[in-house]
Amino acid sequence: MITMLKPSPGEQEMLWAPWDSHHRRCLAAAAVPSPRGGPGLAVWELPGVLQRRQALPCGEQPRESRRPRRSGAAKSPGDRRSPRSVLGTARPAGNHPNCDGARASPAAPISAWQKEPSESRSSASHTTRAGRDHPCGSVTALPLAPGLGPAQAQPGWLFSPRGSRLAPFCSSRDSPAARAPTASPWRPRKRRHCWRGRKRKRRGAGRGGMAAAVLLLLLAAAAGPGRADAGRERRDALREELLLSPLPTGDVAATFQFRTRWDADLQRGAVSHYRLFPKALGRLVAALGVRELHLALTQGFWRTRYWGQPPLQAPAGAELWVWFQPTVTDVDKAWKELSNILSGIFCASLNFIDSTNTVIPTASFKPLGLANGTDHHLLRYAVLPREVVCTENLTPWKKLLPCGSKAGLAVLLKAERLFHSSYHSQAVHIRPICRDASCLAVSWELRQTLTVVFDFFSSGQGKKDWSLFKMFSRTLTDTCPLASQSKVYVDISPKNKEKELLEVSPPPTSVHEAIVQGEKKTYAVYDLLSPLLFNTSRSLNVQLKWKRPQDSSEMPIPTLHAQRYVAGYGLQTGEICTLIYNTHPYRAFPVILLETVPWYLRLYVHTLTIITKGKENKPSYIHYQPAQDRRRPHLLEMLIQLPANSVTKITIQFERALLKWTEYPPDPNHGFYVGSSVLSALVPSVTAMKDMDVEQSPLFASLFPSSDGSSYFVRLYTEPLLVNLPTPDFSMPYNVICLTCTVVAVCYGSFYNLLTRTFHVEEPSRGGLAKRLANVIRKFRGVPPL
Amino acid sequence: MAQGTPPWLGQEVKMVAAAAAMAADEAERARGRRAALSFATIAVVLGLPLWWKTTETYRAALPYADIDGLGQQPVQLVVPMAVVFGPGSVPGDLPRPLPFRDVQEMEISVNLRTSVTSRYEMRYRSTTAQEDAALAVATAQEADAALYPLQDTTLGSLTMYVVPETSSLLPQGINAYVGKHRSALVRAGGSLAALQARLREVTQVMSFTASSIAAALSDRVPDGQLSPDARRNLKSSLGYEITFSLLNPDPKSHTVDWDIEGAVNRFVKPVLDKLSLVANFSVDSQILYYAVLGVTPRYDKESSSFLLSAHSLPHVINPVEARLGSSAASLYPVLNFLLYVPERSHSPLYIQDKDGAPVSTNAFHSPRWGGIMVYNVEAPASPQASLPLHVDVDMARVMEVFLAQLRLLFGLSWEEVPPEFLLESPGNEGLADWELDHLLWAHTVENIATVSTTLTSLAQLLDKIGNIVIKDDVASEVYRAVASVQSAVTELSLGHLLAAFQASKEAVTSSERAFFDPSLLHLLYFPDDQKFAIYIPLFLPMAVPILLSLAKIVRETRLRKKEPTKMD
Repeated sequence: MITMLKPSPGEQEMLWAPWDSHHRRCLAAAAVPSPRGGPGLAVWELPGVLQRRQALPCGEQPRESRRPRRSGAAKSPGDRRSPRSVLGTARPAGNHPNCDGARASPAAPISAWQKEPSESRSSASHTTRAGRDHPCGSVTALPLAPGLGPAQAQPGWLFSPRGSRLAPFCSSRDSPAARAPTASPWRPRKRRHCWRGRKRKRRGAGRGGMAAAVLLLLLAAAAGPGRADAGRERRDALREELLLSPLPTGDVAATFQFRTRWDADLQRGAVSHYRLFPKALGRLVAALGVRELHLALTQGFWRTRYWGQPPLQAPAGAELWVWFQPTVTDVDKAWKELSNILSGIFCASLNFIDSTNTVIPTASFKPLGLANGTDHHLLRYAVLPREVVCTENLTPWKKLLPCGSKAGLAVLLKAERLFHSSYHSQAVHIRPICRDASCLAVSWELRQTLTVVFDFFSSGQGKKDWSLFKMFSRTLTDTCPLASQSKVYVDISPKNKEKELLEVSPPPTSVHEAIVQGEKKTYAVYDLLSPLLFNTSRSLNVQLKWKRPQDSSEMPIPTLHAQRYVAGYGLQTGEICTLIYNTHPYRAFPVILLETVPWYLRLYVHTLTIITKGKENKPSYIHYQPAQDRRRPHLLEMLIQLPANSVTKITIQFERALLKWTEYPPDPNHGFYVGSSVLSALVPSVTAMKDMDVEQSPLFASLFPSSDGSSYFVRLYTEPLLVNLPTPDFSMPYNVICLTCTVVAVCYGSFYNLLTRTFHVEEPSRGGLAKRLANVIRKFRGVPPL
Repeated sequence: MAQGTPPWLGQEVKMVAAAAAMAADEAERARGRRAALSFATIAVVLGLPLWWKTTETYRAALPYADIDGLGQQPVQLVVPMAVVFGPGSVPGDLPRPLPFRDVQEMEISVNLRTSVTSRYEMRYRSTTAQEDAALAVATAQEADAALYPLQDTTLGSLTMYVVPETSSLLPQGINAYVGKHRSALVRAGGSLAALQARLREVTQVMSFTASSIAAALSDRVPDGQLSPDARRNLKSSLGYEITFSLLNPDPKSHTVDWDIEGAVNRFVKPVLDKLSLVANFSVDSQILYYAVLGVTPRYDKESSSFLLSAHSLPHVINPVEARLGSSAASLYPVLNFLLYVPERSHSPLYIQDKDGAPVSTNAFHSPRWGGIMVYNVEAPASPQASLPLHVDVDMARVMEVFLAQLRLLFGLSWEEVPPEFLLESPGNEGLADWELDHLLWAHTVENIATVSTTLTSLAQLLDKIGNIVIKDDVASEVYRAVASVQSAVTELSLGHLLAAFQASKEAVTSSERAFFDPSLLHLLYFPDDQKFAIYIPLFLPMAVPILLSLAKIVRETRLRKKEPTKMD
């Protein structure tokens, strides 16, 4: 099933440890014996919440799907053009002689973990139960009404306790405290801790055990004083920031990031008192044993080719990937329950995640936070490309913010503006991180991000000037008092060596220079917490003006981008083509491609071809899991080396399956979505990057775990595909019934007649028609009849 | 016909042939009739059952009779009770010498169909030497503590110690003392009748009263007959989630800290440990910022404070509740306790009752939902004090109110206690043993009523909609629920409170599982017009010839019956 080949020298660079802190490097290099007996290749640690999209010249926006859902809210006016851009290259790819790895994989035995989950509980029962117990908000007002009656006679309603009787059990402070269990929730439970334990373990098992004991002692000692002054010290912090970046095409991307960090261990049942961290998510993490959760809801498509690398990427629709704790015994059940609960929290159709769209990637998604191991059986990944994102998803997302949308940067999140845009993506990332540099304890981080792209070129009469008010129809007036950092960054990096092209007002509090994704960037920073900012004016309305019209003829092309389309004609077979571009002038780098294809497109792995510069490109790692009808999708993961300045074309043929007639959606002619494929790569950087302190750097930068100065991590998503399946005539069953019944009735009728009718020979009395005619004529002639 | 034959012969031959043809024709017609009849028989005997069998929905048998019986089943609550006469307290008019047994029954009628009988099985006896010694102490508290090891500690049982009328154990003016556990000290009161009247009052306080049972069965009581308080108690459930929320609408001016963790461990946990027998509890807390009440308080010039009048309180909760967050991870009902620190522009804020007097605790509760307390922050001495103002919440004061509200929501109030009774405070546990019994009695009765309602409506639903598939596991859950509820009723009539409560809990679980089984929804939509549209193309062409030939046969037999009479 899994074939690992010897990496080419260029791929040795893949042995990175791309964690967001240098502490985790040791995880990366564990030798795995290759099935071919050659030198083993290590586990690839591909990090990244980073989602990226690739532009396609002809069809940019994924089509808005018409989903039968409860919402009556107005959907955003999305681009309705279909991404089906058949480029006429319907040349069937023949068998590839060298692709033995791919050919071998379907025949390989199916390992035990492919067993399908049995979904015991449907989401319907969830909602029914909840609805029954607490039907609506008005319930609270109703029971109050009877209570109002006896308010004066009955002291129970307006409560005044009989003080004398209450006092004893409430004021006896000392004794219950003395009897309080000595095991405080803050005392660390027996937890094998990340790399400390791991390092020791590598040296020797005996020493490892001792080290773990020492570590536990250390932990207890460290936690002791922490517990004493736990009440005073703030253990959670909120940092918020907004990044405004003008895109090469004249659009403006605004990225909000809200990071809630909590110095507490959200393990099962240990913590139940929440301050800044939202209770709903905290309980979810604790109850279901979630180690990491990444949920993104996206409307529109990020056009990487024209917009450059986004700070945060997500595929169109809903994407959810979760790492569970090793303590979770039934991962599939927890995954099902989790998607149902998240569906309720975010008002999204995540409850449609089931075994037919869930995959377990082996190499593409690695934990972003602290992790003891990367056993990918604890990972679940699902994409719902059909999901439509709208206000009903934004409102619960905003509710998770400590300040809501009442203060701080979140004031700008006005739904009617956010959905009047070319691209909208909101995400929630939960992960455990190191509490400090020594990393002896775990903190939990909740990162809420929202990216939106406004098109000002077309709506602003050809001018590319913008301001906060133009974008959001609001300005910033005050800060969230709970935020420990609140900043607005404006990307004013000079393009094409021309400086002073643009002008921002009011003057920024400072200017920050950083290297983000291999590019040197300059940011104008507005620190909302600095008292200077609101002194001069009551509100902050950041404005950007171009000094002279910018010629947009030369747009920088990103180093890595991709596009995907369906080729072929007819309704029987087709071909999925993926083009991956490496525009780096002299460096080659490998990329991991993850394809998830629904079962009703039957992939033929023997038709898989990978061609670069006219030559066969042999993937050094292939993991293929064939689909099972109505149970499991296809999963194809490959590690492909991209030579410098090249286009790699990956094609695979498929056959369209016939569905049962009840399996078609209400609009079957719309087509069926195939989720975006995922490209993960370490892209070599043109500019050298320096190692920076993750905690201090801006949030959008700290999300990218850069391994060293020479490369940066990129995760790209291609376009989702829309494939037409042969659609039957849906009145057919009734027609068939009618036709069959008619045939049966005719047969039966003649048979019945044969059996029940009496037949007897009848004398020919008057002869045939000719004779009768002749007789009539003879009568006229006066001749006797025949 | 044949040429050359004589005409008479030809005629004869013709007649013979006609007769033969007639006979053959008749035989043929008879065969046709038999064929038609056998078609009809096959269609009726084979076709119809086959069609019926292949299209029917699977419906496992349910105990409909037992479910019907649940509604009418009389519930008898039996309280085993020991009446122990201390030295010098035996009334003169005892009917028999001690020890003896007696039974008192009381009927609590809820509505026309349901009635609950309570039955006190009293064992009268005199004290043992140990009990004598225990009663010889100075105060009632000490006596209670000393008597505890000597009592029957089964749930639901009571022990009454009768002390002489002149005993100094009880303070002046107090006739009964209810201890922390399951015992009480009662003054003799002269005659047996007076003593029994007093005993009845004490037992009602300690076990259940007509009103507490009626409150438990509030679903069945007709509207208007029930006091508003009866709807205050939480519905019985297998678990509850308690959420403490601190609402800080003005984080710019106030930084509010509360040591909720310590307070929960110190005040709430002991109570919940005791209540863990009744249900599972989970406690959590959160702080919500910018969460405002839905009502703008009125400014009162006299006291220079803001007032929230009683009639506006119902509008307070809804806007707040939108922020509270759902309990997505469990299905248990949530009890919300909100501590509201009013914004600086609205403080101090006081709640007024109906008469306009400020409520001393500045708190109110909403039935079956939770409670809200307004916590005013003292204005700083100097107006120039730097904002935000740091506030440390006095958790003892807050928890005192919240715990009292918690007791109220569980239906444990001391309001029905007559004034000459003295109740011992339950101490750190927050709950006396007999209060736990009180809760168990009410919850058991309520569970039984809930199960019978659930099962009855399930049976009615399944009866009404014939398309619903009843799977075997649903049926087995229904059977289990019926069996459990019957055993609960039996255990109640035997006086085993704990066993009855456990059985009633199982019954609730099973009945809910059966009622909400997703398989019940599968064939719900299968309308008749579609059925006809599918069946008619087949059935009509098949049925018409059969019916027509049957009609023809009937007509012919009728004719043949008439013909012989005509011939004669």
